[in-house]
Amino acid sequence: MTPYAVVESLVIAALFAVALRWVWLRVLKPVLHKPRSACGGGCQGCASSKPVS
Amino acid sequence: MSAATLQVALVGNPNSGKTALFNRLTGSRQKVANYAGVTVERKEGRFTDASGRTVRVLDLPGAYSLAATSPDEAITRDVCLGRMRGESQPDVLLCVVDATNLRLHLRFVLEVRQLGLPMVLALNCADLAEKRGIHIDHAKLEAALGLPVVRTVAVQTGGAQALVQRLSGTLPPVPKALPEGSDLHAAVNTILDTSVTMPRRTAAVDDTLDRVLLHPVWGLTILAVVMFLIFQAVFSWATPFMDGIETLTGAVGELITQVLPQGLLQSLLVDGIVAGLGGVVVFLPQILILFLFILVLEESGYLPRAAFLLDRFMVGAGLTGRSFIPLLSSFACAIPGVMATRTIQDPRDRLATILVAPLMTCSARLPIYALLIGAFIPQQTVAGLFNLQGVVLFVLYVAGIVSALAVATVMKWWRARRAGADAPEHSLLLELPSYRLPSLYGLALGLWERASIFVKRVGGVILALTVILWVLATFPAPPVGALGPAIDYSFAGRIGHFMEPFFAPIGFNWQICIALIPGLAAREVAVGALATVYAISAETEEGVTEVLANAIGAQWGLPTALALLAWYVFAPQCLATLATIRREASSRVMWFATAYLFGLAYLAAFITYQLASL
Repeated sequence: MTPYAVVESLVIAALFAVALRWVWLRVLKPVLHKPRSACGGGCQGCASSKPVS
Repeated sequence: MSAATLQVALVGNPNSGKTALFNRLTGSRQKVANYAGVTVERKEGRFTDASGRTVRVLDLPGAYSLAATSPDEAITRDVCLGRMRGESQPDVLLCVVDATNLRLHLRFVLEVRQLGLPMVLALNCADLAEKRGIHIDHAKLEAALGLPVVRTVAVQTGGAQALVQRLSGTLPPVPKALPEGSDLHAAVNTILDTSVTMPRRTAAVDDTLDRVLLHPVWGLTILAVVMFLIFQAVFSWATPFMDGIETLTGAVGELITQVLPQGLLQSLLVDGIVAGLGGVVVFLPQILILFLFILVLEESGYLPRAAFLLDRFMVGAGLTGRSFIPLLSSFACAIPGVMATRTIQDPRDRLATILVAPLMTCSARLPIYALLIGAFIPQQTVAGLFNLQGVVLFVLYVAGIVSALAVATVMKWWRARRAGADAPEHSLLLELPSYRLPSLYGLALGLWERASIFVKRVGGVILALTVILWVLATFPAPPVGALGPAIDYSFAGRIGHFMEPFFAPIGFNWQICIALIPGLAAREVAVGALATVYAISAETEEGVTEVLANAIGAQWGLPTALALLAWYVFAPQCLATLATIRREASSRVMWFATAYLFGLAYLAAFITYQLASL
């Protein structure tokens, strides 16, 4: 395996890991995880913007 | 909250200009429009006053009363009363009123005054009021209300300067409350009699325009023509910009090919990232043109008139006129649309609107529609006037609206059957704002926002999914001596072939099956995914977009293309929308929405494919 091929593989592995983590955190987790108790604020930092009725 | 920080809450009736003022004060870019119900949750921003003190500003949803009747009004009530968990009671209430509509807005001011908090009144749209000959005696109004009154024009640069100065000074006084049980309506009339001279109720221009635009026949005709022309423009105006982006994408791919030696990294960048992202970015001009028109309609005050015109159709289908704004928001993205249902008081109406909102054609569908229309519908003129591709796009948007009304009708019938009688219908109470010319600043800001959202999606979810898809479509490598294309032996190829039998009755090949999975994360990724899959499969030196258009044009056939279009009219929304549905309703509703949308999409694609194959 040439040094370039090693670097290439490392870059691809790193990008793949980052992409997987991103999709897990931003796409899958909000759907699969139950929202925390609602504060009603609707801020972006927490997954619970359920309004108080 | 530190002693050096002043907490100010913006309150007032819907469409009084709170968010425009909030943006002006804090430099934020929250969405504003010339209709009620745009803000449905609290937003926070800050600015530093002349004395160096930090002022924390809360923008609250508009409310007609503190006796909340809808979830968004409840947020305003709870913040004002200091009942909101994690939120202290504001130090100052900044009550925003529309100076052209004081009779309605002052009632809420008097109600808020009873809370006994320091208050400032922002007399917004003061320039419009003057133009209409509404004379407001500030000194008398201040005396009558017992609180400082500041003139503001939130849509103008520097329009909130006086307000910043007023908030920089000492804390405003606590106004004197009215005796318990006072008639607020009578109190408003007394204040208006002493401090305001009203020439007439609405401007003559508004009356004249409304006579035509709200006419049951002419109004609907004009609405249909306006919508039709918008979709014509989407295809006609975007072409040169799209060509420019395609050229740029091709040049980037070429540059990478020349700089990097042939290998995996070159393939990831050219076949994965450039093909995947380029295939999506090319549709940005069409999205921006569509939103330019929507913004013009929003800012001009025409959209609430459209809601009024369409109310009878909505009520006939079991929805309420109040569903119009959430459904309209869903044309941009279903997430704000679902959240905007908070303005709907009746829980059943709200649920019905949440369930049909995903059927509105969100902007993420546009790349898919545009790709398929571009590949299968010839660029020709119909009746010597209309662009055929624009006509097809218009039909697809109408199909979304019609299907939403049809689903709502079925839900209404089902609800009535369960209840044993017709569910009560709720009449539409809608405030029609004054017409105004859209400001160039507002339009530019709105377009910039849309472009930023799109670019963030491209650089975020779409990039991440493209990388994942490329890895899945590249590994494992084909065995020695393999004859078929390398992608056939990859994880993605195997997944696609595994799914193919289930989707074969609706005409989808294994490449489409692969694209459907990342398309769940964000619809437009389906286009990027197809671009990546075909780029990896292709052995030509053509640009990525030509490869994609040529490949689907040659391999799919018209029935498959039509079936995929039908699929995306109904197909389940992206996962983020489903998460929002769960947050706003419940897990049960989310699963129901997922199941019924999948079912409808499959059925529609099946019927379309079978009929087109005859």
